[in-house]
Amino acid sequence: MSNSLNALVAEGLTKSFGNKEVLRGVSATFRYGEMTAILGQSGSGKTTLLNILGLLDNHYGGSISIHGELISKKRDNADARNRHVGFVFQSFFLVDYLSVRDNILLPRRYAEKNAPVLDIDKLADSLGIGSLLDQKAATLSGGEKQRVALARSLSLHPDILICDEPTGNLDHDNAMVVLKELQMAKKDKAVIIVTHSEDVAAGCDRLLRLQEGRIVHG
Amino acid sequence: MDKRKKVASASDPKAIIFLYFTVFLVSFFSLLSANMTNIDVRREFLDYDEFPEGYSLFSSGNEKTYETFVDTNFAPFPHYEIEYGTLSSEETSVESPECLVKVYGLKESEIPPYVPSPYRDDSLIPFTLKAGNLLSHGDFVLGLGDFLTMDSSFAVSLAETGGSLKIKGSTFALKGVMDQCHAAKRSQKPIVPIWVSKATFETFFPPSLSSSDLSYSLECVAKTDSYDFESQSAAPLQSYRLIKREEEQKLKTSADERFSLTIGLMAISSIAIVIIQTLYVKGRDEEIGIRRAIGASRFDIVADFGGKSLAYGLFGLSSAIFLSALGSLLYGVYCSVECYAPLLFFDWSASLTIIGLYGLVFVMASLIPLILAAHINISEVLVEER
Repeated sequence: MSNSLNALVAEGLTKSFGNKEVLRGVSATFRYGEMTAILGQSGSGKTTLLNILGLLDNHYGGSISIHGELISKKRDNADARNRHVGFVFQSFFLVDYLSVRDNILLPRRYAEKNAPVLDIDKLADSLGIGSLLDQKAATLSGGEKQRVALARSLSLHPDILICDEPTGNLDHDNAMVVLKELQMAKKDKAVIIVTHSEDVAAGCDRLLRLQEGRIVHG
Repeated sequence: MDKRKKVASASDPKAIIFLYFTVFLVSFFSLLSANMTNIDVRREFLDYDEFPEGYSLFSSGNEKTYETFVDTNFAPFPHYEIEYGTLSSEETSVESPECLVKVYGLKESEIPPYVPSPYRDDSLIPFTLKAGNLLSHGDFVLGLGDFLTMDSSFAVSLAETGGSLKIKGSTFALKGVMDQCHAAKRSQKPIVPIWVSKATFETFFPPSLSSSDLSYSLECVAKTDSYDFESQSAAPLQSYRLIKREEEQKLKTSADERFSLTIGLMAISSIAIVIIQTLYVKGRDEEIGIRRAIGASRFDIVADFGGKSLAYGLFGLSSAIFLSALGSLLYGVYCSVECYAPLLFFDWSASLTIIGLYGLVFVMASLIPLILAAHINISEVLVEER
């Protein structure tokens, strides 16, 4: 597969907390148009890996390249996160006192002036939250919140969408809606999902199974 | 269209209101205190200034004739001569709040020492010509009484020593104020300075003018005949110095107390601001985490969470500067100090020091919690229970 289709390349990722090795040389490539599920038991290193892939943690061994650009471990990488990475969390992490529109627009506040952006109204309509744009985030249901979080993560057209148990707090119907949206979103980006759900994993193109800090399947 | 500016920044109205009032109250009381001290210092040292021997305190900048004053109904000055510490004029003609005194033949050793202001006890007492050690041989003393200071022709700034003053259109260099000599409570408004003059004084008040030529209908509020040079001269110069030192020490203590109060207020305020800001960001670590995760730099976090706080704090400081200046002015007027020169009430150096110091304290106290909050470990605050 052409290197230009690689959204994110991780090579030899290691991470320790004290004497405990959490990641032991994890290498993986995440391609555009592919949805990858990372599975593993508690303590296997999933969240640690996700933090490193999402550029939330700079203290690790190995290297990460996004869209062919080597990510520096010495910098804060706030701009790289803003340009390349979108996050969807199990607990949504919306800013409750802001409106839905402001929540979706929040990444733009920190974006470069000429950053490519999606049309917020169209994006909201496509996720079924077009009528909620002026409501405060605190008033939404769980399913609506997750769709707002998804809209926020997509608003700057990121290369990589990182989802940490995106359906963990949703009922089955809402989970299916979110999964459907993720399937649609993966067209032009790499989607990485950490999940315990077999349903979610079944809908992914690829599975990476972590065990004791190593990829044992994928 | 760039919509970034439309996204609301983080803010907490309660925290901002707390910050505003904290900054306002501390800076207001600090500035007011500093300027009140300034006024007190000025007031005290107007009384205690010593003038060099033969120093001319009042001189004319141009030639004006006595007739000018007559034409404008200026109350003429009775003329007295004091020789060897004794008033030579009749007692009846002495009873004037405006008096021109020429001191003849006072030898240095006979110059009465400083006389402690007897009106400090705020009781009504007779006017005492406290020539003290302020007069030198041949000096003229012009005492401006209540009537003159309230006359519209004196509706000009009673400038500081060294400044200038216009009387009936004539400019006078004001070299100093001998003392207050008003038979009134010290805290009352009228300032009754006595100007000591030389030079062209006689142009205005010809010596040929005798008291019998004068006609005026001023109420007698002062009595120069109560002045007892004999007893005054008996007071040792050392006493004067002691009294002066005590007064200065008292003033210094007062200034020190106010300064301590200011520093204390600043310290308490900085702690309060740190607490307010810490409470403000505490519990918002998830919000800060998500903002950082989606691309906010640490600077962005400080700006988002601290921008309004800083703006309102600076607004509080600005309003405190304005209101404390106004308060100082009122205090100065109340204390009857240079009531025609409002800017003199403002101690610029002390005020700028306080503004600078407190501005720094405020910025540091409000930003440090935010800077610490901006350095959170994103992956830790966004970790979820599984």
